[in-house]
Amino acid sequence: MGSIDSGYSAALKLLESSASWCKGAQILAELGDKRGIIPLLRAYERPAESAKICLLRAMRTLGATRIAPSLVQGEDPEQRRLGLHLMELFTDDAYLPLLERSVEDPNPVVKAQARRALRCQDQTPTWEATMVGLLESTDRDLREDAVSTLASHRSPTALAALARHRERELDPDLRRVIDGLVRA
Amino acid sequence: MAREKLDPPVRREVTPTARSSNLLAKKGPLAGGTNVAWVGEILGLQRRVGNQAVAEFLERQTDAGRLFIQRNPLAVLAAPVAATHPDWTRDQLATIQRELRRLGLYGLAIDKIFGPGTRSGLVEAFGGEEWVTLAPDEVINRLKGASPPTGNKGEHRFRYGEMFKDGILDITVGVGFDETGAHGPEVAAIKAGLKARGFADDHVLASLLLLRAHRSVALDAFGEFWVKPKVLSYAPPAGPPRAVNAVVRLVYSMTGKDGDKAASAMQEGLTQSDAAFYAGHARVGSGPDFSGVFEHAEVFNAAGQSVKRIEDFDALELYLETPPPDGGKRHGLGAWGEFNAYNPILSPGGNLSDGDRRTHRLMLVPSPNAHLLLNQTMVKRGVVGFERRLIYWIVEKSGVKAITGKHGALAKAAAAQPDRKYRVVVFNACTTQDYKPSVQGTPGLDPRSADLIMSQRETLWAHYADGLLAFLDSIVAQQSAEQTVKAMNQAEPDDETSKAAFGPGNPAGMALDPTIR
Repeated sequence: MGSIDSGYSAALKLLESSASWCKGAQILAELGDKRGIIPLLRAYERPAESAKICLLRAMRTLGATRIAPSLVQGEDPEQRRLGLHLMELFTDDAYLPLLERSVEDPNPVVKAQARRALRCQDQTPTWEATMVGLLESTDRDLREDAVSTLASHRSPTALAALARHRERELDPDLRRVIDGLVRA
Repeated sequence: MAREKLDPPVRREVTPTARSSNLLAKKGPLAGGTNVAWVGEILGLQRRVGNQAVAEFLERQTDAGRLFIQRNPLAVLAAPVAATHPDWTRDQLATIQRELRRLGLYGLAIDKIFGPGTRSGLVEAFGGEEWVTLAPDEVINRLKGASPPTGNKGEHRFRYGEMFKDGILDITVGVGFDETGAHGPEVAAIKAGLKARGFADDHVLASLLLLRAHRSVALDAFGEFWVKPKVLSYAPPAGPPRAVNAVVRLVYSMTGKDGDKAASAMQEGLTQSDAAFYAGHARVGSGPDFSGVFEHAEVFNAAGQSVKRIEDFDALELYLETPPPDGGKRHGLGAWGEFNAYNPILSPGGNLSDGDRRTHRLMLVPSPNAHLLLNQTMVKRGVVGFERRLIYWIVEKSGVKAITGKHGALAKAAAAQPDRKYRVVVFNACTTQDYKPSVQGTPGLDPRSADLIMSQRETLWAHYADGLLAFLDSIVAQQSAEQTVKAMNQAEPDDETSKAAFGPGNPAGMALDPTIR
């Protein structure tokens, strides 16, 4: 256990610099220690121009999809934001109920990340049903996300849902968006 | 050595087309919205600089179609420039050159030829163009009575005479865009640092000070204008001391949506300001950027329906190297090969027809054009990764042209203002030495016209405000070029590599800069 912990600590140290973070990511992936996912994500979020794909690969190896839901259901907004960022990067239909709730998070930063994660999920029938549901939201931003992504998704059911929604949409700008996108 | 003639004189006649009051009445609100407070400011401005100047100023502000033309390349008033070649004998020229050399302001041969080197030395000696109006004996006597600038022997001075000759230190600071929002805290830190130094965000006062210095800026120009009157006292060796005002134009785009305006303002600053400082992403050697790499990507199925949206270029790379969720296969081409296998298309606005979606199975929607492209072709250094290839793919498909080079936008802008012969430019981003050949190959930013400070390693966002403020403090203190770089390096440490951000060879340029004796 001691050697694992010392290896883990050494890997975390390597994540502090963009010059060495790929080495650190490799060590963490080999250790298989899930504690490494959040430090990897924090390194990924650093504004550096060095290649970051190694960090993503390590997070995937460590099972980022499995820890994201517990983070999103936590009390701490920063933990929720991190979980939602993982959900954006490593998508899964199973996230959709949580994402549907998170887009109404009272914290604006968490909410923005949730919207982004939802837009970036694989566009499966379940995702489509979630977005169709958002067309009824009282939040204009959420309706805008739903309108723009469904219009681009362009499945017959998505287009039908947009056509039905058009008359109910009170925002003239969004109505115009529906008209334009559906026509394109 | 070939004789180099002084640039032809620039004379500007101010011929107002209308009195300001009539103009306001005729044209209505100023661009950028009506504000009763502006009227008071304009009346104050008239009292200070006169009706004709204000009329001319307003005429320029209310020209139609000037959304992105935030400064006028030509000054509002006649600037004091060297009108004629001084009528000096060859012996007088030799004496002048010897005296300039004694002062460390001239490092070329005593060739009795009046060229850019002699001119530059005289501007540094007198702090402007006053020498043009003086009798030869007076010029020589003033030079003989002057003491050399002090400092560490062998170090270089920025050409402060050229910078301060119109009584103003005009700096454009551009903070680029970061996808994770790292620019937000740096902008806040820069503002706090300016406030702590006695600067105030005052667009109107900036307009007035710039006008008095024979420069102009639109009242609706993009960005913030931080001002500090009498920021320093400048005492040239052979000229009268004078107070210098400072205007720092701070441009950035928090969301990236108006990044095009920030980029336009930064581009202006590169030739029109005394100093221009960019801090942000270098975009792998391509140039400063005020919005994201792209807005989003979409993958389409065989029916042209979107099946995946991606808003992060690293996530796009991961997607392309991972087997798709529908059970399909990758071609084993690596992320870049897979990208091209989709027959990708760049689509501003993202509105593709169904036919295009079936032909191009991957669409990239670009961000607003907020990229100041300095290198038209990719600078290949180390492993050429996905991001580097993607950025240059976007450059190629968008048809954006580099602003550098003999025929680029920067060269044209520099040529349009012959009285501005010098500037200091800092590119504070990751390994911006990649910019050096293209920037120095641009007339107006060549080694005789600009001093460039560029990084030799990845620089860190968390230090950008400190680096800028160290630069500003050094300029205000009129430190040597070497001391300025040293101060910036101290402000931007890297504990991991201990490698200086700005390495040997900085600043680049300095061909005509004074040397401390």
